[in-house]
Amino acid sequence: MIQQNEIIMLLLSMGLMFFILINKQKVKRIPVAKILTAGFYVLFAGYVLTNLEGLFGYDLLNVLEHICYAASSILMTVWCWKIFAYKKDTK
Amino acid sequence: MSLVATIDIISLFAVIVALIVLMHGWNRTLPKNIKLLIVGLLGLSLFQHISNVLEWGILSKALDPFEDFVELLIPILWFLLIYSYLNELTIGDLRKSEMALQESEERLRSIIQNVQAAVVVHGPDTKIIECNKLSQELLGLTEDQMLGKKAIDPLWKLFNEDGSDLPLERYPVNQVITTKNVLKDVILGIYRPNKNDVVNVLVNAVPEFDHDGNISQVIVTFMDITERERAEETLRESEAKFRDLFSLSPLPVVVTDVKTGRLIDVNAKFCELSKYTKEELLGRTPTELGFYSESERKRFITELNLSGTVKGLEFDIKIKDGSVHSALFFARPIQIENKRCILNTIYDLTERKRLEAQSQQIQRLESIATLSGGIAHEFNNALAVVSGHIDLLLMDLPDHGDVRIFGQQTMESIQRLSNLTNQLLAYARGGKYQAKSVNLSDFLRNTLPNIIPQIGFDISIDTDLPRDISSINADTTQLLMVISAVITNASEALEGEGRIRIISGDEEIDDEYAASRPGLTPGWYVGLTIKDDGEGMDEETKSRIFEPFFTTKFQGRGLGMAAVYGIIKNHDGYVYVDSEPGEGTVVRIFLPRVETNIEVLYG
Repeated sequence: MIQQNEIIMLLLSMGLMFFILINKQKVKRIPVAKILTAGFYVLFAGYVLTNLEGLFGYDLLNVLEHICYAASSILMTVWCWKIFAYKKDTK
Repeated sequence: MSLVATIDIISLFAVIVALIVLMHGWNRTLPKNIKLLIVGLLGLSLFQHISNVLEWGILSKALDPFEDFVELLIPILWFLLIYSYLNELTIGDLRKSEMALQESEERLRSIIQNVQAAVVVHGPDTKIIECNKLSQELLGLTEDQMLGKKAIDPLWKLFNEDGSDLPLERYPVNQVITTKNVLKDVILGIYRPNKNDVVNVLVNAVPEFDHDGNISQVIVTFMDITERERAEETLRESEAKFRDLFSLSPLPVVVTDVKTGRLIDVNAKFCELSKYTKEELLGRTPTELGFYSESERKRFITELNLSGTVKGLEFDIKIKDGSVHSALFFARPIQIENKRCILNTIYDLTERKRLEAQSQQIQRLESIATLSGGIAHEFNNALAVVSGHIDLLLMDLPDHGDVRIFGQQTMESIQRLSNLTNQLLAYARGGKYQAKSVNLSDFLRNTLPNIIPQIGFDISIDTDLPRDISSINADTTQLLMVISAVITNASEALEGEGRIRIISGDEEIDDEYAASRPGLTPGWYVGLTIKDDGEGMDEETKSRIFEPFFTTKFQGRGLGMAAVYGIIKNHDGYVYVDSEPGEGTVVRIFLPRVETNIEVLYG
């Protein structure tokens, strides 16, 4: 069963996705942008899956949803590492 | 523990690591708001993953009521993070642009200040908004005095190149604003109030436009060309002087190209000498024109290469009409418009050589005259003694037949010898001289009838003997001898048939004509010209015609023309012979005229 807040999350993240796409060139200038945007794309995939699990394949899609969240967190950590702990100052 | 809970633990662990890394590198140069947004995002993720671990680990559902709210905040924070980052980048870009603009302006200002030309920047209202030090120095004004001044300010007084006032609408800045075009290389005079003088400047003005196509500013640059103009004027004067010297030179001057040997420029005297026009000469080489042979050209080049200049190299040049002139060459290398050239000055020796030859001939005649005069005088004295004694002998023995016959024959021979010595003395200017004032035309008119029968009947004599000519002081006997000798010579040259023309008259000898006749001084003379259309003479015969005993005839004694020369010289006159083979002969005699006639014979 699809929950209301999951739909809102999906809509919000879709809005962000649209924002990123229309500002694609500018977003590319964010340091280590590929990892950061990849983290968001994976998170967005998690939001899609959490909505789909309400319709079919709950068990599998739920596991995949949490894998997406984990991947997003790991990518975020790698980005933070690159930004804050990497020897070369990305600024 | 379920698989999902395990995955969430990994997520939780990753977020914790991210938070630690963030805290560790907090001092990194990143905007604080972005750092806080990352912290917030990681914090929300931490909460979400703890809640998930507790929920899927079947430990607690205490955090569930907050989870939905937190999950809604996560995409919002993602949005804020990316938006803020982009915003920071935009601000950074703007700052960079601003800094670049400032640097550019500083650089431009530095260029304007340090450029080696006076620069004044006007606004669209002609107000001065920038001026460099050179412009201040050139105009003798301070920056404060210049900044803010408009073109209409009475401070400015501009003049045209010719010194007339420049109207306001023709001021460079006004012209550029009106036409919106670049103004290039305009020469103006600018009055300097502080120095109370006018400086000549070369002005360029360039408009700058804004995005709407309106003029935002006008950059005016100008350079002081007063010194340059002075230098150019000096150069022009120098060139004009050279041009005058070149074209008005009394000597032929030629400029040739070193590389090609072609004539670059020639003056009028050279055209006069060579008989070619300037157009025929320019662009051709002297060897092409046949002035001199290849061997002489090599001699010239060798001399030039060895000593750097040619000083008085003599060789013959052949001119357009085929005649050969003897010339002295002077040459030195010069530079004309970065081209190596040779400046050749030519001295035509032909006339000088001719005059020298005539002068030598005169000197030779003088020497012979002195010698023959001395001999004739002694010989005449001896003849007088012999003649006297023969006379005495004839008086003492009047009836002695043989003595009378031999005596008379001897006397006849003595008479012939006496005539001969008289001619020699006439040539040597040692004869008797009884000068009287004579009208030459009348004298000729009276004496010619006695002379004409002695020449051939087929020879016609034309005369032009005006009565109103000046008189001369002359010994009529000697004058008769002169006329008789010249006419006899002319008739012999005609070989029995032809025409002789006799002209007398007053003649003024000017400097130019006198210069062409050695010994002749300018002034008024009574001239006698006797022309024949006979066979003429070659140069050799002409040069020896006045020598005693020189004759081309089998029976002649060669004393007639020698006597003419001596008699005319004795009368302070001049005699010249012009003749070319096949073109007849002209004998010109100039005798000094008498201003007042005391006694005019035949007058």
